[in-house]
Amino acid sequence: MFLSFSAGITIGSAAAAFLTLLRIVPRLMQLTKTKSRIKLYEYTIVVSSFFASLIYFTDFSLNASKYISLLIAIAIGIFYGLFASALAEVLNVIPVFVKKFKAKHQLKYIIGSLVFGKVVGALYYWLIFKKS
Amino acid sequence: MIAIVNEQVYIKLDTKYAVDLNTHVYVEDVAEVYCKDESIKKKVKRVKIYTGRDEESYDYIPGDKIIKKILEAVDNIDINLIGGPDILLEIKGREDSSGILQFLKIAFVMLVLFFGAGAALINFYEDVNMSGSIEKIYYFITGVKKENPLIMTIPLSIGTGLGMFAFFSRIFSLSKRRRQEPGPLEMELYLYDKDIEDNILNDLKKN
Repeated sequence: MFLSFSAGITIGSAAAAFLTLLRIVPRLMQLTKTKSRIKLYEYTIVVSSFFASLIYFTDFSLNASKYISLLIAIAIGIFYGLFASALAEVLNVIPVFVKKFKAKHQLKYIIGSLVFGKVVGALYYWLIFKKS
Repeated sequence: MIAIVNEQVYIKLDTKYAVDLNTHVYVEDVAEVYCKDESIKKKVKRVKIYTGRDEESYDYIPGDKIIKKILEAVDNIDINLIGGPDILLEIKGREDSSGILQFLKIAFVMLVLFFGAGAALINFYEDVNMSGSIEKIYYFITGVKKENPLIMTIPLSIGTGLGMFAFFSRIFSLSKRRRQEPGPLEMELYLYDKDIEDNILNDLKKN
């Protein structure tokens, strides 16, 4: 029991450190102008991680309508989009490309194609690749 | 013969200042003034250095312009600037921090963070197996075990696009000030350029 407890502490702190490194929450706060609510967001993540672990390891089910899962999937998708782009940004790929091809003023097209490609790729994976 | 000795005035500039719409900026707002002569100090403090605007935006006051304005207004002084050379001005109106919109925004961010962080953790437990974790979440909500639930995966794909767009894009806003804020990619590009320039300078210095 002590072993699993310390494993949980390690996982929790690693996840928190990773989220902090990616700077997703600051970006969301900048977009919505809600810098003063940072504590609220922190607690949200903490509570959410706790419940996610609980859900994963138990066989509990809400038996709710499947349309609720649609809304939740959109929320998860938005978070993953932020997550993926933050990761790509940390890896510093795009600035190098933009510099190499001297495309500083076409940045919005690069972003647009990134977003479009992401959605098309994801849809392809779920609709066609998974079926076959 | 009496030599005219100019009075020494020391000015310490702030780096950043937020100002309301249609408000003029005086020296005393953005700087601390040190001078032996109290009357000169008072005069310098009341020099207007920026005329207020009626539009939200970012602007800056260069340090040499401040010196010029003060020298025009006050005679027989020497000015010594301490601190940064420029001041960044943030011109903005009163922010409405109340209202339903604010509440909705906070609720939305909390929703995204709650389910997103939870799903990320489940995904981690599931060895980054996205379809496995999606099926797990689907089972938790509906109580039905179903393989590849399209009702979750299609919104997930679209949401991913929305999230990327929200991360990279500049802010759409009526206010010019908000639109002037750079996106993270532009910031990264700027830092990258700066690093390259530093590196080139360093190389040149070595030879």
